[in-house]
Amino acid sequence: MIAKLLSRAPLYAALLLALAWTVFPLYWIVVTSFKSEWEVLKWPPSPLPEDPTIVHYARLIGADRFYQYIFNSFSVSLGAALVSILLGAPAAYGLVRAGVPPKFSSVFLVWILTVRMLPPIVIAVPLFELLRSMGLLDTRFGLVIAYQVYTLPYAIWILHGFLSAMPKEVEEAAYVDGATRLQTFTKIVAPMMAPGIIAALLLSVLFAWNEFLYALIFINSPSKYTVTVIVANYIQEFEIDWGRLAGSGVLSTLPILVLSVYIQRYMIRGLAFGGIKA
Amino acid sequence: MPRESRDGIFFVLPSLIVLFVLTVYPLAYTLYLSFHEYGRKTSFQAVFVGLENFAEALGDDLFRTAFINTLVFVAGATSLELLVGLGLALLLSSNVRAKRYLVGIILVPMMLPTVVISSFWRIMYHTELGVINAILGAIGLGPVNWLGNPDTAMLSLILVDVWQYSPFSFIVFYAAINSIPVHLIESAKVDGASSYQIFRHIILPSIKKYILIVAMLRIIDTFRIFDKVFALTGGGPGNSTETLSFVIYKEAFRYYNFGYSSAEAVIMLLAVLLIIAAYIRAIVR
Amino acid sequence: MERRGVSRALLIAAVIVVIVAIALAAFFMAREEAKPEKITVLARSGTYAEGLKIAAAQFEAETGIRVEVQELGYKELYDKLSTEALQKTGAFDVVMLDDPWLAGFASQGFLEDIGRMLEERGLTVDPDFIDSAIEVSKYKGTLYALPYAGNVQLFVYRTDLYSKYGFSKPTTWNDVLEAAKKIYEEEGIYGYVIRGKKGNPVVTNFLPIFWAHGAKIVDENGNVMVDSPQAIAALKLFIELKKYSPPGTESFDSAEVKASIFEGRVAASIIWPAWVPDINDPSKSKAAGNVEVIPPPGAAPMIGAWLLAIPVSSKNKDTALDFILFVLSKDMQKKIALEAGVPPTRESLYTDPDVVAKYSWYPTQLEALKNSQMRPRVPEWSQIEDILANYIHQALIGAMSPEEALSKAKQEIEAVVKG
Repeated sequence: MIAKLLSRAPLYAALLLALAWTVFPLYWIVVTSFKSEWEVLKWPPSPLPEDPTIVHYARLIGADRFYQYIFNSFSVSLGAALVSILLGAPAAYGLVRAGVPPKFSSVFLVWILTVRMLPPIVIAVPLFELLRSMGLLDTRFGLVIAYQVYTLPYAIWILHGFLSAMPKEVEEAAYVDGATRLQTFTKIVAPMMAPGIIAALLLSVLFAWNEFLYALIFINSPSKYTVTVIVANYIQEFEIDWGRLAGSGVLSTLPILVLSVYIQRYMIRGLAFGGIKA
Repeated sequence: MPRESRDGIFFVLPSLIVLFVLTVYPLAYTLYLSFHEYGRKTSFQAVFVGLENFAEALGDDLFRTAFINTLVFVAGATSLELLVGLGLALLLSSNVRAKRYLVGIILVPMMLPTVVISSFWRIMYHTELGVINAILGAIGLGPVNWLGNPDTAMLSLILVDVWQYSPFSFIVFYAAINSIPVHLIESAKVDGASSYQIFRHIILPSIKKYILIVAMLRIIDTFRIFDKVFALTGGGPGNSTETLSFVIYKEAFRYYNFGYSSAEAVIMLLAVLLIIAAYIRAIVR
Repeated sequence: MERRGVSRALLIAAVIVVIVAIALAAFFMAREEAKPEKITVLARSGTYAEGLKIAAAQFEAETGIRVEVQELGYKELYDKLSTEALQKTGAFDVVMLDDPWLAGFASQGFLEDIGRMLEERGLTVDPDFIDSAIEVSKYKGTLYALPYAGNVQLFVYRTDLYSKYGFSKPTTWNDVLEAAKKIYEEEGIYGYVIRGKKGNPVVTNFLPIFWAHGAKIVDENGNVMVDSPQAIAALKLFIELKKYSPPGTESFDSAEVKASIFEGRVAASIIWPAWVPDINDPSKSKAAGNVEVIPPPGAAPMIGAWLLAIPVSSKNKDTALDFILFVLSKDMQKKIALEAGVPPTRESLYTDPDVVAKYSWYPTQLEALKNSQMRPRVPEWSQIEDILANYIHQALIGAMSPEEALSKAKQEIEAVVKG
């Protein structure tokens, strides 16, 4: 027994190291966010706040109105995800089931896969001009549109994977009963695609929540900033006012952490269907 | 299939239009701009200059440095992430307790916003007050001027990326290893194969495909590095962490040389496509 | 039959796309448009924005007009102003500018002619404003802004350490270097601290030394002079000073410099006054009582005023001007100086007993302001500053020799100026 434990000691040591490597930065940020302005200047840094304070959170939520950036990120993420699903679900259905010429289907799929390789900065200037001509610069909706470059192909790809793996007998039964294609889609297919839709939705939200470059370029008013842009500003601005910086980091990752349990499940499936099974 | 027809187009069309407007048109426009001088200097009128922008970009020290830095980042981050990810996957595939929770925890970094993660590391990297130098100091090393020294700044960026995205390669490899039929490994053990032999002859061949795909995805992603540079180093110290995306961003949105920045963008895009094409050719062979 | 089905389907699809797009756009835009009367101010965060918020609260109480102060860090502020100058969305009614940015934005036609607006109201600029601060608010003779913060670079040194090692108040940069070396070697305290972060910080930190050596960025005939022997000597001295500065000084920004001074770990530094309102407060500063604030040795100090201006795209220009004049009134400036620590731009406040009681060095600062020197007023300044920042930084970290760095800087600046 002991011998067995001993032989596994290196294994557990390695696990512990891996865990520490992953968790330490997160731990450190939470700790820092509770330290006073002067305690962060202490050397060596204390492993736990000596005199824990919530002033940074109070300030972020009060004077800095951090909730407004969370709201901005939330509305942009959700907007981008919904638009992607609204456009992407029918597209995936069309590609898999509704008799699109196979040649068209494969060209389209390769195209949206290629979009993934496109560095965002390469089309930033044209998108900027495009949004400007539509009067959508400095609006959250403009950002929702810009994010379709990446979220829409992703949604189509994931949903395409889900649909391809689904038996088509059910649909055929519906046709036999005289349903139209649109009815079949809304009544039968869409509900069956629900898990795929949730996966695409969550992953699009995740993308939009984390996106930085387009939010930086296309949004001008600080009151419309998303969390990533405001945190980038804080990094420069708070410099070593680390309590506040760390607090903003904690606040902007909490929503994602809450979702993470669900996201993870779908991420693994999404990877299996979307990213990997290319 | 009943009622065989082509009305599937009806379902695809909205996406087709949106994606066309958002990708094909911008690419064409970038290409168009790259042959023009367009920006503050020309009062935002496009003036045709032929290949001048490209010639200038290829002779531009900053652009070349950025190109090389980007390649260093791509190579360093991708290879380390594959190694760490594989190590983690093997570790977690052995018989350990609470596996589900461990996997969940390990995946967290890849879900957080890059900018926010950068702020974490910026706090930890600080030369004088940072916890990393405190830990190094406790074991008699350092202090290392992580972000302030041109020799370590790029390494610092790579480490942040490794922290953030090793979980990605981990989860793919982990899923792949777990789909290897148990009896294969069991019978190898019965035949007296060592752990290394099992890894070399059973695990590695069956996840090779995934390693190659993950490598490609990471190359694509690391090539566009922007957020970390913006948040951690601003391209410095000196030019040691200037990257393609960052240089193009500055040229376009700080100096308003849209024509020149477009030429740089076209070169960047060609580089990605070339690298990926070469990569695919190499692994197909 | 089938043909018609397809074309009808196409039509339906197109209609759906358009409806969805319009509905969403309308929803978002309605959210963003429907607002009561208010003006939006884009400001430099920290002390400067605090000051404006104090004024905003009172303005709101007196007029009922809401003032929203949005704040950003230095570089972000510049970037957003640049984007707004291009987009002209009208998102901002009052904007805060660092004085060297004025030429760029004014020449782009981004800023309203405040001189003309004042004239229309039958007003003139109050002579109480410090001349040099009004001067930096002008571009080619036209007044495009009004000065809000009378910043000028100053110098602090530890009187206790200087006198302990037999140094008196430094008058040249060689004095500073000698004292730094001695104190570093004998006392084990860093003799100096450089604000060396790449970008605006390292440039503003270096220019006083550069000017003190008689170097110039551009001469009277528009020739770029950054690689003159004087300039090289200045850069060499700057690099010497780094030897006696804390590790990591090449990435320090104001907060680290401030912390080093307040923690009593350095003997001297260049500072901006707004950093140090509490430098002699023993509860915050370990160096309290032993710090003297003086003009930087050897040359005219650098002005770095923060200005308030009105973008041409603003839809509430009159209210915007009302607010600016409200902020810059004598009473309000005094209040802002006392409560937020923003240095005023009115001469009378620098000798006001209440203000001087709190900030003992204000008379010194007034002298410095009156004799101050400004950075070149060319539209391309930001780009020039980036180039200088890059090469000064390269030299500072030892990646290039001072000669090489400055000659490359010269080439690039020439390309920008002539481009």
